[in-house]
Amino acid sequence: MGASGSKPDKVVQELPDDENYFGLENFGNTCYCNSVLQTLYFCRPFREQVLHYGARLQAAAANSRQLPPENMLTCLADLFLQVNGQKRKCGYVSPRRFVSRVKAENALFSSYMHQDAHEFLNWLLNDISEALEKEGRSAARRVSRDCSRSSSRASSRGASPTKARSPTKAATGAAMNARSPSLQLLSQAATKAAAARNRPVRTWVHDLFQGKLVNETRCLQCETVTSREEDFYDLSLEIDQNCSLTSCLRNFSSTETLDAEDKFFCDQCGCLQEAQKRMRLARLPPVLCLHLKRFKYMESLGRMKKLMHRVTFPWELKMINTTDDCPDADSAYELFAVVVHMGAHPNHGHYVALVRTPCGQWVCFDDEQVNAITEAQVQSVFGHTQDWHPTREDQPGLHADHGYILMYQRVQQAGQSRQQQQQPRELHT
Amino acid sequence: MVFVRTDRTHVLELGSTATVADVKAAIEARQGIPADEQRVMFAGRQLEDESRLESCGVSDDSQMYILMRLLGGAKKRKKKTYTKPKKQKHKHKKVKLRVLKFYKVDDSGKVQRLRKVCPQCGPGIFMATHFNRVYCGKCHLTYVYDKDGQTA
Repeated sequence: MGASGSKPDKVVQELPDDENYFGLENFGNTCYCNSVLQTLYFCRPFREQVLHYGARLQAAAANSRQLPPENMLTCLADLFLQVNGQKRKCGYVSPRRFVSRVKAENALFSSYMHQDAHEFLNWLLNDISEALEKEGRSAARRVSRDCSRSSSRASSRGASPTKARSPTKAATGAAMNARSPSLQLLSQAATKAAAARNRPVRTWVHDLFQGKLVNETRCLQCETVTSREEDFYDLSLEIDQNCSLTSCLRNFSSTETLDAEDKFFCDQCGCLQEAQKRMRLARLPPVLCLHLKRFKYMESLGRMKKLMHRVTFPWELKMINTTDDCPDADSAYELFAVVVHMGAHPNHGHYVALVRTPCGQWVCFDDEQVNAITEAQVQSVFGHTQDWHPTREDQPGLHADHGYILMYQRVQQAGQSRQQQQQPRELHT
Repeated sequence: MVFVRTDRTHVLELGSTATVADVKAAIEARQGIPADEQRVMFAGRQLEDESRLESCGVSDDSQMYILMRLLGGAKKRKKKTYTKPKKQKHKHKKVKLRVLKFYKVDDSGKVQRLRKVCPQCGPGIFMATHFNRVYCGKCHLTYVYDKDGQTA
């Protein structure tokens, strides 16, 4: 930290776009948080939603309406607004409120220890979607309360819900039913509203990041296929020495035989059987987050090891391990951010974020520092083909910077109905 | 029965009251990965140790993932880049019987002293002759030629 750290990069400063490139101050081992924040900020649909939310908060504050209590989302919105509202193009800001909120919310991150960026990203996304769900639910409750009150007051007036804030159609449907004076219908509406309250609300976090995996298990005895769907926010991929991201994905979805002590209990056969299992993608999210498992437990050494394997990742990716009926299976994904772990060991290191700007320039966010980098420098985080020796640490060209989290975004093709997804949904908050 | 994927898939049979910690313990028993290094992911969410699998929505045939961590956070000290090349250290040149060069004996046997005597240290202490100055090795007194500037 210091004066040299805040010196703006000339190339970044003269980028021909209207983005703001701001570093984030490190408050003592918070770079895992900073690099994740940068990738999220440069995930455009996500940023737009957060800014949209922040603008609503500000409007609410201006009208001196009651504000929701401070949570991760309000802090994030604050921070994004702060960066977005800067007049200058470069510089750095202090995410002080955000970081102190993180420390207050989560015991794991409250210490000044090093942390895992993927763990943080996953926690943050879940926390934000929970906050949104809570708001959505309380809005739904307000609506159902409003309409039940109005229906009991004067059914003939045909009162409609005052605010169409409800995120679920069921709640509005309940309101329609509630208009009828029949008691039976009223009680039905009440149960429907209750169901709507308990059903998970789908928020824009889900819309952006959540995909669906299908897990198929085929019993080798009776050939019965059991399949099960599961949601995911990111895919954690096994890696091999000298492989490509596509081969990692193929490996992820490769067929695995369950045998020996891992036999499968087939309901059809009613006993343990050998089985084959594979996972495929049933729905692709607009923002695809791939996490490389660059760690391994070495049983012989009795400790963790960081895998320095060379894993190449393409600028443009097509998913190969989709199910046959997966919508948009052939859509292309474009790399827009990489979270890089630097360091030879799994238990300490440094994180930086590499981000691709809309005009194609790569920018490296290293805490307060923002520097333009070349594509070749991005490719240098693929990893090493040989084992890395700590003794040769000072050798030029050998470093321990490795891509850890890769963020891909679906390429929007012109004239597609998918554009609707991009627009901030007023109703869904 | 649940599936737990590390680098391969394990099939675990756990009771209905099993917690996330039980999953970790089972994996530790099978692959040796210490429980506190493990992170259990299910449906895009990291599960807490104490929570019951049931309450997290894990049911029969559910798939969980075990991840570990790559910790980071420190500010990496950047190596300083120097613009000026490094100064070369002075190497002492050993000249055998250097003292002989300090005197000159002329034909008549008279000794002539070739070095200036240090005015501070008195006779017997010579000052070294350099290309642009004379220097007393004992008291560091320096006389630079021409300007005769003096520094202690």
